[in-house]
Amino acid sequence: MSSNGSIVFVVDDDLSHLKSVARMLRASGLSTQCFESAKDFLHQRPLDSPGCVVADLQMPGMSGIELQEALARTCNPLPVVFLTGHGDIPTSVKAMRRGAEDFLTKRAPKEQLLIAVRRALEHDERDRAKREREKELRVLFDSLTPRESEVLAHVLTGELNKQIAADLAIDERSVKRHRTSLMHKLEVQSVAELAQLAAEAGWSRME
Amino acid sequence: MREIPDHRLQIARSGNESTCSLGPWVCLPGHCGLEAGRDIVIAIPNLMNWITAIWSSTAAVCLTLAMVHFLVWAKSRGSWPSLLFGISCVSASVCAVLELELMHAPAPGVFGELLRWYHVPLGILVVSLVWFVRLYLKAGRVWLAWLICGFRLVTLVLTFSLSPNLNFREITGLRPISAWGEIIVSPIGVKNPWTNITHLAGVLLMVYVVDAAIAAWRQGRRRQGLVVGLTIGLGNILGIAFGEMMNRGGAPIPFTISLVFLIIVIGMTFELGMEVLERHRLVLRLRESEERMAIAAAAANMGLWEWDVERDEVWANEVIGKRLGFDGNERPKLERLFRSIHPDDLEKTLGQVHEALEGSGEWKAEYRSKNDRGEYRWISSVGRTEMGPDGKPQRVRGVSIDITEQKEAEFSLRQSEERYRVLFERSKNGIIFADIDSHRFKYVNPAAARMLGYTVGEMKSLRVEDIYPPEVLDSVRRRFEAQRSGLIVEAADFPCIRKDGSTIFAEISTGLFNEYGETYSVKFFTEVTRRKEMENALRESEQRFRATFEQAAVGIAHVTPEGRFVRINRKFCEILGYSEAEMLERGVGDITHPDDLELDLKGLERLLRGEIETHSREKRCLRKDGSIVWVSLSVSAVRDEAGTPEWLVSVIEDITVTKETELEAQRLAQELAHISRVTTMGQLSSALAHELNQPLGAILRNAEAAELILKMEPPDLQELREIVSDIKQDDHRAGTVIDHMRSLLKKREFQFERLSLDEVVGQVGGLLNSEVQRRRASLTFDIEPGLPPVSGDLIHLQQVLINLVTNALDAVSDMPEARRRLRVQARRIAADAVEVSLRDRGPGIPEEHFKHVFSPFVSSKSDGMGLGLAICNTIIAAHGGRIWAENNALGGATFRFTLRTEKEGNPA
Repeated sequence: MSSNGSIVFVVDDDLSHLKSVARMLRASGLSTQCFESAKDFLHQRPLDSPGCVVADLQMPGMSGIELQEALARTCNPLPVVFLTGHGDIPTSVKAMRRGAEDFLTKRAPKEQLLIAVRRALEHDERDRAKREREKELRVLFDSLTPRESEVLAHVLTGELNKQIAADLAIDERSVKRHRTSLMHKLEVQSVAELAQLAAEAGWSRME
Repeated sequence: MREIPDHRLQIARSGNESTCSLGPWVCLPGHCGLEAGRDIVIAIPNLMNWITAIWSSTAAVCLTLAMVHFLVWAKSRGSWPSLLFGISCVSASVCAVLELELMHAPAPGVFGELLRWYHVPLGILVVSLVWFVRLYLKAGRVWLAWLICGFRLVTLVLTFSLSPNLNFREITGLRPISAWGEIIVSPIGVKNPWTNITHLAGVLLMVYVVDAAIAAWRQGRRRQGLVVGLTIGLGNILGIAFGEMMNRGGAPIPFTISLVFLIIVIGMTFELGMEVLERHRLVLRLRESEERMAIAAAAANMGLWEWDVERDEVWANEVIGKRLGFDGNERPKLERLFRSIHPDDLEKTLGQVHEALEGSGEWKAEYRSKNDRGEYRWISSVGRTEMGPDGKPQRVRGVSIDITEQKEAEFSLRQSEERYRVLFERSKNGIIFADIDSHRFKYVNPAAARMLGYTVGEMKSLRVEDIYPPEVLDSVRRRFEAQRSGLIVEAADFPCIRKDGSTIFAEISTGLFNEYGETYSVKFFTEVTRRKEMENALRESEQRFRATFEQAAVGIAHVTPEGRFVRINRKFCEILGYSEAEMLERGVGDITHPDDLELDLKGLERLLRGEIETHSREKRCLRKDGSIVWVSLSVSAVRDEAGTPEWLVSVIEDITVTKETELEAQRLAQELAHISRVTTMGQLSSALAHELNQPLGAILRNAEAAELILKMEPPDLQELREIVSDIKQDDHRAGTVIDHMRSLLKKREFQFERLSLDEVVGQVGGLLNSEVQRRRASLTFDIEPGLPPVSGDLIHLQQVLINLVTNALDAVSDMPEARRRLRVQARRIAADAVEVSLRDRGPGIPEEHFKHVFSPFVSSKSDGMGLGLAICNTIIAAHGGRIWAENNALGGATFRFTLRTEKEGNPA
């Protein structure tokens, strides 16, 4: 799994626990990096590195949940697996709702932990690919002229050329020309394909 | 010419024959070739003739007298009459010489000139006499004196301005006359009318002298007045008469004014002689009186002294000299005398000297003065200041007497009198002096009067018979008679009648006393009525005490300092289940529980040493049947006058029931504390689970890692070693947490031991760490370095801290995170006390809750039982400390409690 350079970042204020978790993950063939506090991790992690985070939920200073929130705001929102000494229900719910990858007690069997970590890494990989594709599409969509964008928006609502021309107060031929141009730029053949691409890129008329 | 033996010849040429018949030594005509009838040869005897002799002697006498008076004046300055009289004597002497010359004047011109000069000594003579009279007689009118002086001056001026002089307008010739065998000349001329001025002056002088003499006579100086008045007056009259005769030019007599003065000289010599005689007599008398005085002074040991203020010299007689150690010729300064005065008396004495010098002039002092042997003697000194003419003190004269013996006698008499007066006045015994004949009371002391109910004054009007009941009067009289014959009479329990008619009993003894020939019977009364009453009272009190002792509701025992019972009451026996006889065979050690014995003995030792007044404590005693009885014990010591404990009074009270209740309460409190701990543990369960899961989780992960590593080829042994070490460490960690929890959950009694606060607080920190984190709060510890160990029960103290911290966590839970800070502080507040405080920044304690913060079943929390703080209070109280709460000035509350420090060397 580490073939793609993914790293498991272990964050725990309890040094002994930190060491043991990292040690087990390493023995299972994963690359790990240890941090004794959430702040250390946020400041010192390699910025773009793929991977996931295994964090203690209760830590002095910045807690696990706060770490997750802070991480989500970055451009590399790694998935987080929470460990807790004694999980209580309200905290777990809160954590999961915010998109925690998993929520395990510290004494959960290693298989569970490994499954959770692997799943997290997979998610990271998938999200990363998705983010990559979105980025490409964004470049594609960004290459459209403003008028083409306008036309695209109308096309996506399913309007005919004639209607578009009336709405934009331009002639139908111009609409047709813009339409051909944007289809060409976005490398699609049909309106159905165009619609799917736009959805994929998260492009909306508002843009 | 025929020689006449022993004569010189003088030729007087004149036309007048009659002159031949003048002398017996007439030269016969033709005898020596002289012209008969024309020349007269006068044979003048070569022996000094009378005129010359008398006048020369007069001059000499006057000079001698002048010398005498000048001497007197020179010796005693201020004796101005002597000087003046001396001057007049000199003037008289000059007058005598001039007169002699006048009588032998060869020519009228010479005569005139000499007479002119004659007025100079004469004037001086008159003026000096005038002032002599004034000063000598201390009388005479001054204006008259000045008038006479004025006239004399005018006379002088006139005599020198008129020619040939004041007396004559012209002198026509000199007439030889034979007087006392000698031929002298007498002037012939015309009288000058101005000469009357001298007579006027003479009359004035006369008036002046007579007036002065009368005044002196009246003042009592009769002799002086008489002598001076008579001589000068007479002389003056003769002088005037002679002058007038001469002026008229017809008087064939010698010039006799200086002779007239001789009268005055004789008078004054008489006067002087009288004075000298008188003085001599005075001197003799003075010497006599002085000697008498000295003898008297020496005999009376009287010190005479005189202080010359101006020269600061003290003359003192030998009494003083001997006393102060200086001889009679020494003239010490006053300061030397003052040096001998006792320092305590010095200031007062100096003050008296100043007073005597400045004001009163009288001086009277009593002081102590050190004699040459260094002993202080009492001196009484009396003196008087004499003022000089300038009004300043000139000398102080006085007498000082050694009154030491007197003083001492006086003092000892006063002492003795005082002694007996005190005895008489203050004696509790009545003392009465009764006249042995009349039986009247002479002296009665207050005690006797009090005893009999009278005043002292009333008693003095009574007789012996008035204070005894009629039935004993015969006996009293017999006793009086017996006393008269010298017997000492005593009577015991003798009845006496008081003023109010009641009877008292007295012990009476008597003696005899003589005073001014009277004999008194002295009676000494000791009232025994009171003593009888007191004996009864004591007996009653003893009975009351015995009843109290026996029937007391508490056990009372008298114990020897060695711990043996000597006397015990019924209750004491009852409490311990022994009979009295059995108790008396036993000691304190036999009935005291072995566990309490040591402390008891220590307390008793301190009591016996006098370090404590009473030894009080609660202790266990062993009853006869072996059961334990709790008693409250209080022991105090009864000491003799020297303070040595004679015996101990031990009071015990059976408090078994109280004690059992107390122990039950303590047990309940501990039970409650336990329940509270269990509850707390429940509340903290998730935090504690986290605390446990941490090491357990680590152990699990390490074990899993180890499994994986072992599957590797080759396995990483180094890593495995580390894993094993970490597992052991985590296991230990988990074990510690479990131990703490177990001890907190265990039910236990208080076990006091020596505790370090670091340890107590540290463990609490470990237990609460997770909970604090879970609550997003912080807990800091601030333990003063070097705190002494405290005496306490670890678990219970931790319980207090856990309670306080969890309460504080609850209090801050609604606060923003920044205010969820708790701080535990421990510091020393006294030599034997430490204070632990917990400060939060929560909302604080509402005013209305303050009173009940530590009361049970009062809680501000909806789910609380309200026992936490009440239990804390119980625990801290059991530690001998105090717990309280206060609100901080800047918000939040602080809970504080104190603990006693463990004493050095005191085993836990």
